[in-house]
Amino acid sequence: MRRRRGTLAAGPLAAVSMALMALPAAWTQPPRLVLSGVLSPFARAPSSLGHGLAGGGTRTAAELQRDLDYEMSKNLEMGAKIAKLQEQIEALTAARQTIRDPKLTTVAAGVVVQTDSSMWRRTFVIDAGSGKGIRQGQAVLWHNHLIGFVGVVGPWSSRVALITDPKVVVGAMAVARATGGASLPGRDLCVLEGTGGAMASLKWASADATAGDGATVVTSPDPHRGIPEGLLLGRVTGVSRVRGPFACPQVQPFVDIRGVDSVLVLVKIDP
Amino acid sequence: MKSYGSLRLLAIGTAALVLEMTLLANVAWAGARPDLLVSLVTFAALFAAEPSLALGSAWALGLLRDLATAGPLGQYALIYLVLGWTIAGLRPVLFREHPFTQAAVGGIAAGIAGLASAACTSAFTGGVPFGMCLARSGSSAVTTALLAPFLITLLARVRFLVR
Repeated sequence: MRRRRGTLAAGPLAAVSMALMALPAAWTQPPRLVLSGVLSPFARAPSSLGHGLAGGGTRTAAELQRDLDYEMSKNLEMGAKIAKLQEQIEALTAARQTIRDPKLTTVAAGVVVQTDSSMWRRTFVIDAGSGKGIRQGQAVLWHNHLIGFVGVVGPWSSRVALITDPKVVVGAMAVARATGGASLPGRDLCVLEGTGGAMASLKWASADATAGDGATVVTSPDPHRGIPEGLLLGRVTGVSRVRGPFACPQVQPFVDIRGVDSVLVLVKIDP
Repeated sequence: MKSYGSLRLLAIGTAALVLEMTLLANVAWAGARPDLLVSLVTFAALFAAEPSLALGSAWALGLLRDLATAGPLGQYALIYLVLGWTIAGLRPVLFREHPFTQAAVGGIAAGIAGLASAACTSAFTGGVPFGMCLARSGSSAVTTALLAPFLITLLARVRFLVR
């Protein structure tokens, strides 16, 4: 087929595409976020219908197992909290440092769009932007679970990368599964990395340490990023042994974003 | 069916993207959703009156997908443009009316789009496990191949949708 004068050709369009790809995300994301905000009223009805089609009415065994895991995680949290309080009572003079940083506060935000149009990214859009004090890199929570980090901020909305997104890396600790009602003292310091799939993976976990099947993964303290210690991340559901001193445990997040309507963004109060 | 209107096709693409991200968001097979926009790119390239129309439509559909992702703007536009250009180039040897052709072209295009976008994600963001790339691109190709003949036949037969 011959191309007429003045019609489109592949070369210029490819060049425009590559030029767009070279633009910083900070320039290209805000207009996209605004468009996502416009889309949200139309997305609610089919989204709820889709959830119903996917078995929203009758709960599957996997969903019940997830709920059970969540309840068990809450029990674990309670146990850890009791142990921590006992420790604080016993070592009264050493307990001046509080677990919760008073300089940290939270901003509530609603989830606008729950999915990313790319099947390799795990992001969602919230209805809070720079106007509410949201900044890039802030942690996003659901109850006491860390579910992701603010990626790009628009004036009225922001895109959040889930902990399973390939862009996300966070310091983590694997706490061994409680036995006989008492949690083991052993902790395995490592790094949680997103894979783009349903699971995240733990890097630099020592092969002989506690990150076995069923271990709970929580955040390790990161004052620079404003991440407190002990926020729940997920549960180890399998460990692939690789050569060398490190194991590669797979972590199933406790929270499924499809069931979340609102989140909390952890914001540091400026003095 | 001689050709289609680009703006109408773009409107259908917008509706397809909303459908994909809402109604079909939970209907994933092996982690992959059926790629409706690739089916539309296949239709655009197979039924365009001239190549420029196919290229413009494919590029615009890709840009539409770029609007709703955290990835770099232009990534899917480039991928869909290359797909549209390739399919339009192969048109002389393709029997576009046959459902098997539509399924094969749609499936292969979805697989290539999946692998290319995984490569882009790995390059720009972080590593996507290779096994997951193959599995998810494969499942996306299969689901799109199953869906493409229905969508393309619908667009080719129901004129008011795209004329």
